[in-house]
Amino acid sequence: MTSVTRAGHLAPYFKATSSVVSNGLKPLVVAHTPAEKVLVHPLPKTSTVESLHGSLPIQGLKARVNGRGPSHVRFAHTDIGYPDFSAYRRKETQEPTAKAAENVDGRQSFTYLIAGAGGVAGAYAAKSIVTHFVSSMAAAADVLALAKIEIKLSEIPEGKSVTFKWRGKPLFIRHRTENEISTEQAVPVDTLRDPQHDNQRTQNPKWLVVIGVCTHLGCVPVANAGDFGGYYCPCHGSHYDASGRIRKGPAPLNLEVPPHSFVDEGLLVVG
Amino acid sequence: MAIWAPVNRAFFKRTSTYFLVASLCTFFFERGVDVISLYIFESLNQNKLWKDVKDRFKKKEKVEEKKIC
Repeated sequence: MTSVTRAGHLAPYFKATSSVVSNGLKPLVVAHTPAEKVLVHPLPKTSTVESLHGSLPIQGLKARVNGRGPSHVRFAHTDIGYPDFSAYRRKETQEPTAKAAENVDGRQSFTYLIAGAGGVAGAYAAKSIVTHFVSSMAAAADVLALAKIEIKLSEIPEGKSVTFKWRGKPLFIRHRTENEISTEQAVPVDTLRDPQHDNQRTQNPKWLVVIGVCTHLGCVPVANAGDFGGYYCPCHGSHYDASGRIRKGPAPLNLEVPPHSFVDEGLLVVG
Repeated sequence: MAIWAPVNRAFFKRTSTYFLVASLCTFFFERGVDVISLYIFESLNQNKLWKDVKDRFKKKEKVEEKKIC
């Protein structure tokens, strides 16, 4: 086995001498080589940039092994297989000559359809979770069942105010006389502290439904008392008229009218 | 794919349209899931639900009321 060391354009000198001329590097091989067996590529004769560059002693040492011709220089890219991505490719793009514009709609539609289906199912799940927790904050069914009371109106004589208990508060139902109705209807609204016409407060002018809690500090007013013939709060002297509106005294607002409805002629449902 | 081209252009290309379509689909999806699951539940529990046995109990109540009267 013979080896020849070539270092750029110093190579011709190696032909003549059997000793290695140091070029600053550690000598690779010191070998006696007969002149006829030297296997060194002749320097390129053309003076292109590439050939001149190749002749400069700036590259690494290239070793030749074995007298049977030049060995190959191993470059990394020569023996590593080109990666095969066909397992990851869609069926439409397996062919390298396939045009993307012809199948892009199908591919994108599939992707977006899957994502959209997930989004739709997720939105449905999120909505049901949110409604579940929000509805847990609402009143329970048994509370709601107690939250309504039915009142038979035939038991209340005309001109009387009857007190019921509704959601822990007193509820006044007043069967008004014709005289009271005409009086309350005639009250000018702009003179009131909390301006509300009688028609806004009653569904049926014969019946007044109010919560019996004084809007001042929460006492229970007395029925059929006071200067205006309606309700009178004994705590601080608030006078309400027969429509439950504040007319005199410290209270700022009219008595509250709860939601109520007349189911049929003789039955009132409050709540 | 000739079928997908209009769908992709109309619904999927623009994000705002995509979200709009998704939320509209959610509405119908919810309705569909609710109806189907209720149907499955009711067919599995046939003759056990209140609407199936209501008639039996209602007759009794009427009889009781008559007794009270």
